[in-house]
Amino acid sequence: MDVYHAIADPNRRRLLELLSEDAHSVQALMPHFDVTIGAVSQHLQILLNGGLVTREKQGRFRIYKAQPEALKEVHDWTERYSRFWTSRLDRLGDYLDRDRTP
Amino acid sequence: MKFEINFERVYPHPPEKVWQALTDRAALGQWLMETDFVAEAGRAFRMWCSDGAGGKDTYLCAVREIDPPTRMVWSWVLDGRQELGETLVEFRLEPVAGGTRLQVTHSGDRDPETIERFKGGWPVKVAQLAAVLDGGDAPGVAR
Repeated sequence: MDVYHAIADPNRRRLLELLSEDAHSVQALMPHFDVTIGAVSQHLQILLNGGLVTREKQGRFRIYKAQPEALKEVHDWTERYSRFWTSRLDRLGDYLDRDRTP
Repeated sequence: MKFEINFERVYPHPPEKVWQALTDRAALGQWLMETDFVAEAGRAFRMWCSDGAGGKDTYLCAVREIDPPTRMVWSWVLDGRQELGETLVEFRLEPVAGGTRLQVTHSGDRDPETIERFKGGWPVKVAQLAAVLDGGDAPGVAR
């Protein structure tokens, strides 16, 4: 499961936003969503698999928490390499246009 | 945690010429980075580029797969950050009307526990991350 899939869905983005503010159980998250508890659990599972949230047991509840370092790592890496490849592929185009060998 | 970015360009040149630019050491030095690249499966090579502070970053790479003139895969890691794991760069070429389509995919797989050890800076907002991912992810994102 990759991070792009994890963040592609608006419900999962909303979950990440809520969990970035504070740790919550599924039950506490429910009022923010129009979907079933099963659906919210499934979205949380995808975020867990993507490494974007963690889960721990507290009494009867499982508490979910966002992993801001994971978000930051992906953000920084993606931004850095997007800039890098965009400029290098431009340069490749210039190089090919300039190069006279067939 | 897996992540990847994709790029796609069409160059008005035949695949053989684009392939040459991807596999010739001097050509790579012109558009990508200074390198000691050898176009041979399994060969390790290095690339160097300015770190933006008067020094140089070294990338430790290897040719994982090479299938002229259609596909090549490199492993790629910044020297000094090996603990974050390798990333993979894949080049795919195909002839199209009037030239060559080049697709580049750069992907990585980071262990969340490793990321935890590299904490620092302000947490990123979800919306910010989403915007960057949308930008990097779309095919043909050219600029």
